[in-house]
Amino acid sequence: MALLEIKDLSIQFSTDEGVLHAVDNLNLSVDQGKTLCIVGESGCGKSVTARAIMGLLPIPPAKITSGSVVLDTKDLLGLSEKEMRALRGNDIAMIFQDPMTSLNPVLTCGYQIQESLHIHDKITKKEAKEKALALMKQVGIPEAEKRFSEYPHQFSGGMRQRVMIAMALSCKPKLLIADEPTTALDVSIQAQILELLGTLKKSSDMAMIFITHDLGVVAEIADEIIVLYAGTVAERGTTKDIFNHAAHPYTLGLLESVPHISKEQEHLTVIPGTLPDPTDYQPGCRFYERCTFHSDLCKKDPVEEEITPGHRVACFHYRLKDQQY
Amino acid sequence: MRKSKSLTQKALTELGRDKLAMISFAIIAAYILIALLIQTNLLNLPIHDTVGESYEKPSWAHILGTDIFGRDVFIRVIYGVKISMSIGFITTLIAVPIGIVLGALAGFFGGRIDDFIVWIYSTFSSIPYLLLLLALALVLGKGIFSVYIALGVTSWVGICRVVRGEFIKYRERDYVTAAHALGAGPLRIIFRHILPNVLPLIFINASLLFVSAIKAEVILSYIGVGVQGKPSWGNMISDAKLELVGRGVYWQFLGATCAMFIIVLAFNIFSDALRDSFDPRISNKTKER
Repeated sequence: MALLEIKDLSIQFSTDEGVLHAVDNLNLSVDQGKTLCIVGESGCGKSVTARAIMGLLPIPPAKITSGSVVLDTKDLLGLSEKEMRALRGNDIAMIFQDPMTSLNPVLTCGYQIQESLHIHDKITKKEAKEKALALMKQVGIPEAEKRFSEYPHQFSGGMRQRVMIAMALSCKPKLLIADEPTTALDVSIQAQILELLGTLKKSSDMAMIFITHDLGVVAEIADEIIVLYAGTVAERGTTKDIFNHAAHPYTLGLLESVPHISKEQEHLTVIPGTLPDPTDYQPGCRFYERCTFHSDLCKKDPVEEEITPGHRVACFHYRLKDQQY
Repeated sequence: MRKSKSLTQKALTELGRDKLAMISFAIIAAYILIALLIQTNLLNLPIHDTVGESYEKPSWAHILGTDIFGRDVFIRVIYGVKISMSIGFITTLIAVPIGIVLGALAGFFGGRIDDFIVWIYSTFSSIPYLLLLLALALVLGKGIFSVYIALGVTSWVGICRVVRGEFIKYRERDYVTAAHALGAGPLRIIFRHILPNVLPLIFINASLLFVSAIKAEVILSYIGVGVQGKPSWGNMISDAKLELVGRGVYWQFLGATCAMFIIVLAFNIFSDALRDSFDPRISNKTKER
């Protein structure tokens, strides 16, 4: 059974410009010990989904109009704020995008790592400190004893992200949500953090939802991939399915726009156009305007169709494209 | 081993380098010391004793001369320190906690709670404190106690506004969201995560509040609704006006005014320096005086 199962999740925001459809009828599931990557460009609903799972959406303006988020048979959307608080940091934890702003400047890193232990477990100060030191060593912070009482401004970006990871792992969560944890870091540090997350995941057998727009990162870490476009799933499948047998024109476009080191390119390939206005979606495929394959068929709402077991695509034309590629 | 320093510690080190601020701090400390000595009776001042003729000019025996009843003005000015400091201290002690708690609740929760608290402080700030004090004097009787209450319950509004604004700003910070994601409850987030960030600003505002309470007491005592029967600076200035022009008795006026001027100036310089040292946007260069 899946650890986390999201069914038919729809999230709207009421704004001055009208109702913004952030996520529409999203289905996904993550198994224990697996990594699910959610890929898509800015504004496609990745972070909103993550925050919905954590129960951190600002309501209002956000509103969950339908669906369920089930973790271990518990429907998270039906829980009270107090019950949700007991889960957060304990069963589900989250790593944020920017380690420079996600640590409190006036609290020591050591304190911030042990905080969730104090919140969720009845634990003495000494035990908490020991656990925090062990965590710091586990995430690869050198000289843990000394750095325990240092403040975030004394840490580099990569070290801060390690602190964030230690914070998230302190209560041994079943599910870890990483919202673009490497985006704000430089490339060499990115690789270190990814490697760290990989080993930690293996040793603790937790599930991970990894949100990113960086396909290089995805290839490195994912078991399964969901490609989101404008709040809906364009394509889903295993890493192999997506990278070797991509079927949705949007996925193809994403893969094409990755620059290749071996090819000499004067211009980077881009997908023409921009995301449709999320307050005013037209019926039919949301990729219609930017798609090179579009036809009248696409004016109907696309449904996810299974190509091979586990590999599903929401496009009428995938067969047609098979002939071309 | 390198010692780790928080932003606060850094700011305090910087403040320590500011000579003018340190002189101001020494003056404030001296005033506090005098007030404490008088309060604990370690320094027993003969404020009611007649030591000479009425309106003696300043001399070595009585460096600020004597008043209408022949009492030493200098001794009375010193006693005024205790009254002023106690007014400043107790007003701050009443106003700051109220301001912090209400401001934090309003700013953090927003919505109806915010509307309600904003309504309360708009109402309070629209009552002139003089009127409130007159009303309180009728109920509780004139005196220092009424002054404490009146200044305390009217002056929390400024701090409340500041704290509310800061909480609105900080509740959207990433690290506050991160604290939510750890499962921290609202109280923990307010007091552990946001309040320490706001504290420097609260200190600065509290020290300004202290000064304005001192000034307010002087004004209240001057018009006769403040401290009764004790030599507060306001009372002394009020007494001095009788013979200031007619017989040129300037010393009573001078003593009380200077005593007030020095402490107000010291507090203002100190809170400015405090503000500068906590504000990272002001570079070290502009801080050098």
